[in-house]
Amino acid sequence: MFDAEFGSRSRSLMMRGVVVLALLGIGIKLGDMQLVNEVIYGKKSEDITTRIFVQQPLRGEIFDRYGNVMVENGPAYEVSVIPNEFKSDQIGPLANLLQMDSVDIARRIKIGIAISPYLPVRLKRDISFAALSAIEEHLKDFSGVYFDIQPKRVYVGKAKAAHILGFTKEISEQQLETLGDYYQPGDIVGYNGLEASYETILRGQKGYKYLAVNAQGQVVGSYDDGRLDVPSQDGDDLYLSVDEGLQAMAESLMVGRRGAVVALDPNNGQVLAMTSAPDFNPSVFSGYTSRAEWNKLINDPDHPLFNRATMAALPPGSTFKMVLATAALEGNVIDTNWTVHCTGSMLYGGRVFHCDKAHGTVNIIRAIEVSCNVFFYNLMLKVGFQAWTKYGRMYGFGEKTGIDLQDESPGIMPSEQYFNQIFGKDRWTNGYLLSLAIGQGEVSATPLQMAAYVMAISNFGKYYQPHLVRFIKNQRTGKIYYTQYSERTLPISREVLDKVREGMYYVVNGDRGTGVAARIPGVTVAGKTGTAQNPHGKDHAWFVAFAPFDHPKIAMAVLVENAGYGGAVAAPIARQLIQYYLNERKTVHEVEPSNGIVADAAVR
Amino acid sequence: MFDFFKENFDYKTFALALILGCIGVLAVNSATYNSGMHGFFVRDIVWQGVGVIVALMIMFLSNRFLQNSAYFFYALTILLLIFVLVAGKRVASHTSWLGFLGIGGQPSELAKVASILCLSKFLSENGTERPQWQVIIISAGIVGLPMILTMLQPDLGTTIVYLAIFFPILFWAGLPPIVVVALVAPVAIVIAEFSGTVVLLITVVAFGVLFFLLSRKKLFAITLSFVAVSFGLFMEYFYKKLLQPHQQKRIQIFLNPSLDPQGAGYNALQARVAIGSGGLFGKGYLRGAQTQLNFVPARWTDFIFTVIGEEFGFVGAAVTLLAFGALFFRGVKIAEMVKTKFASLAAIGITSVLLFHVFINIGMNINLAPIVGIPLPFISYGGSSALSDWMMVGILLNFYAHRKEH
Repeated sequence: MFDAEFGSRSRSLMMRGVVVLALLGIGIKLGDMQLVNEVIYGKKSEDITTRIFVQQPLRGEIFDRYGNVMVENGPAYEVSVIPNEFKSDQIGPLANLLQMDSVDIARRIKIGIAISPYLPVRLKRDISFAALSAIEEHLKDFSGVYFDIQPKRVYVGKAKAAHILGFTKEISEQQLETLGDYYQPGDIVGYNGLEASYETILRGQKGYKYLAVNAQGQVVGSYDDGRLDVPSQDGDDLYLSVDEGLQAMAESLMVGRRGAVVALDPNNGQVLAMTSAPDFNPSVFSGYTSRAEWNKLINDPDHPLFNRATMAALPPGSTFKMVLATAALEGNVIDTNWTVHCTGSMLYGGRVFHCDKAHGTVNIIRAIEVSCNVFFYNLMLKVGFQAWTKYGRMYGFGEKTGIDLQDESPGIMPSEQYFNQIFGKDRWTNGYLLSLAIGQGEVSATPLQMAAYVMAISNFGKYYQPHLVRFIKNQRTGKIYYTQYSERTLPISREVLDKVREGMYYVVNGDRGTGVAARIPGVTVAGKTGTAQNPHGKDHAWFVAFAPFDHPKIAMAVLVENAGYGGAVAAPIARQLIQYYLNERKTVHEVEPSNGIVADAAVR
Repeated sequence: MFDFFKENFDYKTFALALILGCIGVLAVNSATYNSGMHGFFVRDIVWQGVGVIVALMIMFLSNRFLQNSAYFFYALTILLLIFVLVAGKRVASHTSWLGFLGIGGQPSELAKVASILCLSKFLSENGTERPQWQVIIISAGIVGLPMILTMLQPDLGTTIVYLAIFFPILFWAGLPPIVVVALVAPVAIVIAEFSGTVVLLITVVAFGVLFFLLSRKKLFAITLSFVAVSFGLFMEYFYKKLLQPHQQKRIQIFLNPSLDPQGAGYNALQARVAIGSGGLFGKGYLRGAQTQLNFVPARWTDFIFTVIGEEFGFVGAAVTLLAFGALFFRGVKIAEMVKTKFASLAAIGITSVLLFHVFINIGMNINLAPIVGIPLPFISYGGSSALSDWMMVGILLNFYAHRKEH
């Protein structure tokens, strides 16, 4: 083989030659950089360094379904200091002028120096224009103090839509770690609502400008004639399905209450309105948010930041009876001839289960109309746990609807397995089932899930993924992006849904209906009342509804916490919203992408 | 004991490595001084200390111990590499870190050492009786297996290091020059491919000329040229599919840094400005504007040389290079000195791997090589790399100690 040449003298010389050549190559290149061209790298050398200046893009704007602006960008004035040019004896007078604590100013400058003494440190953000005018002429007495304009969110819509839109906030240290390389300290980032779920779309792309900076931190010109600069790209705009007028009305109707309203378009799952009360004013977060304001919101016992529409999972009460009705009819367990005689209560397992009055002999349609508990107790025992669970899940309970917001509760849709798990096998009785039959006990749903459930009943079994964003538009190119939403057809026959809907028709329109408060002249409304027992206080009121009966254009759920009986409190709210949406609304033409180039968008 | 150190301790190799380690500790201190990562400085001292102890322990291993355990060591590191792929933690988009008992480590660093020993053992024990093509294929398999596993992590830098094991050891073993050139050709052609059509053409023509000069049979030379060209074009076709997008980007940016000024191109640019502004004597320890103002990213690992270049200038860089050069000459010297073929081949492998690291790492600091992310031996911060560097020094010390034995 090739043994003869092993470790030969010539090869050893070649090895040494390679070592010398490699190191010599490096040495020559180093000499070229450090000795010959030191002037280029370095005149430069001691004095000038390049520095990246980030060009912040403008965040995308948000529009309602008719093209009305809900969120746009406005100017926020801020005062900053370049530590290297700043003399510490100026701290006192500056603190007076800015009405800040001098200790705070000193602390901010100290932090800034640790990062770089040449980069501006923000002292005060979001100063009003008036305040800035007052101090502007004095600012020139200070060296190293500058004011700057940054964009901030301005909420111009008629509706607050606080929980839909969410707000932006300066990025936290924790988010800096989790959100990835794009962000830097001081960046503004969507904190919740659509601002958070569509963060990557709304934020745009930062630009970078390379500037030559001398050792005093002064910009001496662009670097390399700006050839390396990357322009920023503004964020894309969101066009929502929200009807601003309906949203504003829902918000006004919920003032002073705790609860939520969700209205969907049954033809496509678009959210027409979604409010959670009490809410907050998103403007509080648009520029600089003081710690006191933030703590006040965080510590409010009514939790205004909490989006009840998607996160409050409560027992749905009698509004849940259509689940059992569907299970019974679709499973052919009973038909409309099967009746129960209600005496106002029922004894089962040694316990009395109540109805609100003696309804006499009722069939399934009448039982929905009058909300007869005794009928549904008996029906539950006939239908059984498993079938009930199956249809509850079919209607989307127990899992998130997948709405395009980040925070959503799945609620609880119990099963036998679940009961065995939480109570222990054979440690629970059929008595528990009777509570479930009327939507009480270990079952819970969010207002959004309730609205989606009514949507699926109203449109004969189409479950559309509820969503807020209709399309995304790039303002510069005019390019339109559609987001993909899922839809499924529930395996429930038309005949069964006809009967369930008929029951809901009589709830509002029957002579003994519990939801007559939702009646509107000229419009056929269907609905269902519910009252969720609340061990901690007054019961929660539910009302679900859709209209018009034959070709529904709106499906909704109303929840008012601690308001008692659903028919009395929640139904009138639904009536006014339906009345507005079907009869009083002025704008009816949705904004459509005009010169849209339809493109698939893999968003979120 | 005293006799041992008098007779068998290669104080030259040890002193050179120690000098480089000290330069490293100083540079890491400066690199982390203003960054909030100063804890790395203390950890670097600890790792260097551990490395020295490991090196001395390896030195005291008996003659032939390394040769006898080479296959076992190799198998162990291959298993670790597979384990890393399955269970490794993702650090900076590589899966090469292995968390074990709370100690992070990169088995790919150990696998380099294991592959050198394994290939040397194979060539010294079984290499002589087989036909040449079999030897080449088995050798390629020994090096290729850890190479592929490293590529899957994916870690381009450490992957190409294996080329610096394969070619020099085979060359030292006596492979005919034409075969070496024929094996190098496709790699060189692939690299030329990234540089554009003109460079590719020149490279192909150059290899053709080399083949004709080195081979007496003209038909054989023509065939070789044809195969090399085909392979180069074939690789070009797969260029975009084989490499990760960020690796493609790095190669493109190496050739044209302005493509991505805020990313890797920015690193290269800042590194060059930092080193270039160092001048003859540098700006003084802890006084480099670029390094101390955090302009140079990852400067305690891949870009550590910028600290030396900026703060100690050309003189400091030259001293560092001379120390490396002396160490490499010592490595070749040991390869000539030792009596066993195994030790000779392994010493060459160690020397060439270290040289390759130095050339690529410093090269990427001064725009001579793409930014592939491999550490500068003894100087970059990093536990696994410090450990494997000192292991290699330990192996050289061991060879020297047993240099007169068969």
